[in-house]
Amino acid sequence: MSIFISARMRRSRAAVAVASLSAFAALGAILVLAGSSAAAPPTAVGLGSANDFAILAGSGISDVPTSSITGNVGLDPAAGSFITGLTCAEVHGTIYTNNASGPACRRINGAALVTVKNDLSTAYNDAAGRTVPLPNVFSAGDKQLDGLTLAPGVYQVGGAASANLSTSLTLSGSASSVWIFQATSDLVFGSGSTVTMTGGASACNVFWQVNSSATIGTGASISGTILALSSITANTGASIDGRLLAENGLVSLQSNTINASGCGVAAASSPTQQPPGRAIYCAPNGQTYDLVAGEDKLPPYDALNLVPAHVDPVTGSESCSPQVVTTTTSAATTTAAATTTTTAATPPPPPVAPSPTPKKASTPKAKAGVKAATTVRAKHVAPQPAKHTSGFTG
Amino acid sequence: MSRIYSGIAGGRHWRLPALLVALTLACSAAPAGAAVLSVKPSQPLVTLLRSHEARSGPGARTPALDLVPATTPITGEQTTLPVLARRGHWLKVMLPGRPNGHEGWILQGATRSSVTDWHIVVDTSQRHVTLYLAGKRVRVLEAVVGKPSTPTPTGEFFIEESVALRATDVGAPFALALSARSNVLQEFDGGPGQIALHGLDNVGGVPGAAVSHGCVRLSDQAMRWLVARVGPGVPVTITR
Repeated sequence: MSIFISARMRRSRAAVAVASLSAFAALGAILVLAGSSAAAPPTAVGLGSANDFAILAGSGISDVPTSSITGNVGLDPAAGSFITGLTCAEVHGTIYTNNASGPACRRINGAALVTVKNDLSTAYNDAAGRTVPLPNVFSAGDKQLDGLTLAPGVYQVGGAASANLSTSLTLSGSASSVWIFQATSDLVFGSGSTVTMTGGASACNVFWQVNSSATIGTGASISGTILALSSITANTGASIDGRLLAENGLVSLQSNTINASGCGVAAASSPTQQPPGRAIYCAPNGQTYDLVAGEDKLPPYDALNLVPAHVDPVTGSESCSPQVVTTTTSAATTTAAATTTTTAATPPPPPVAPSPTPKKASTPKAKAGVKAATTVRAKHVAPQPAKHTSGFTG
Repeated sequence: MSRIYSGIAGGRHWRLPALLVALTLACSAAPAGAAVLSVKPSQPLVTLLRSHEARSGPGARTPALDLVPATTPITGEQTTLPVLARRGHWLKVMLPGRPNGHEGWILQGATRSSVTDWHIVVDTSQRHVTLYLAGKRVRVLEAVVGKPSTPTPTGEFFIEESVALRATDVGAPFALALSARSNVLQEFDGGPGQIALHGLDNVGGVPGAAVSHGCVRLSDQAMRWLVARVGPGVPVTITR
């Protein structure tokens, strides 16, 4: 790349040799700046809250055991039931779902997943929007990356009939060097192919932005974070030093190793450290309660107005920060001038006629504009237990 | 039994009714959070004592649309529907399920009439749930509503069932299952994409955010307050 630029600069300088001295000087300055700009290394793609996830998917995650995943796993908007084959023992991190289905060790946090997926989308768009210097655009075809040693930069690949990489690719740089590969269509790493980092370069700074789906061949050893718009398939025995992040589709695993531990991901933890069903609750005064999930409905906790603690989507830590214990609702019950007030630090006033265990519904009498006394006011029945699956959208 | 109506399986294809609930939206003129909304002071209801055939008009010769079961699909309680109009022995009622807001005519026989003074209004823009009693606003609750990709559907609906959830259920401790269904998710977690007002347990979310899959989430405290007062048949207006 640098050779090309130097040649272009020489040609440009020759072309302007006939110009005035002042014009020559000005043009020379512009060309130097242009050369510097083209050589400027890219900055890393910010993953935001998706940083701690080794696997993210939109429609499902499947696994043929035994895989080893270091980092969090998340699925949204599909329900946790679309995680199949993956066991808790295979994940050294936390499995996040948006509902109460999926592996037993799952942690339900739909709100966090929405944030994480939004951050993934932002990262994808960032990577896809990086400018690719013309010399870094590979011609469509197979084996575009075979046997190459590439300096840090933004590259574009695509149009491979079988594999973009079938042998080995070396990425040479320092610990802060960044590589961004844009795949204009599918991205395919052939069976046994390798992506090797040298010179202290980090796999955490390699990003594969895939316009469609990515496939990692059997036994391949890949470095970097794959940001795929659709799906990612890792065939038998493939290992990834990085992350598999599929924005909309599936992540399919077959006895793979996915390791995001070197990329600022929280130290691997055994999923059994957090007993299933146990959760942190917060009282309005900030007091923290570590209870079996749902025990806040039982005496004496039912009188404490406990709410679930905030779960940090990155670290998985639970805390009782003021904004999560806040509930709104200040309303007048005797006038029509009710207002809503959000209080960040002050707990809201208790509700009118608090009823910890609602029983028979009371139907307050209307005061004005009520019909004749012969009208039967509906006596709303108390909530009944579900006899069948509800399946609310959540 | 192919015509049996099921709130779980969704409904048939009827059009949005002429609304009995008169709405006067003045969102553009009112300051933020102070939209003026007028609701009727009361809403006639009918509880089914047996299954009823819903027809497209007030007559036995009009096309049959669906069979409305006497009990609800989740809790098995008696079905209660808002009454939109009355003609002779026929009642025009709102029905749950797809398409959202559909209606039909049923015979008044084997029903029990009542009236509710409650009305719930969900403002998805303000992310508020407002409770009206006899046409007067009595309480405003901050809520989680659907995110842009899975918005909370708007229109005229009603509470289909009042459900006491298990502590481990998503949305515990309570859910007020609505007649509304998601316009995006035709199926969700084994259900029909049913919209509900429910709690935050096992699902999370901070009231005031638009992050749900379409349901309206309220604090547990707010849900306890709600289910002690409202129940099946109570009209729910969802606005944007």
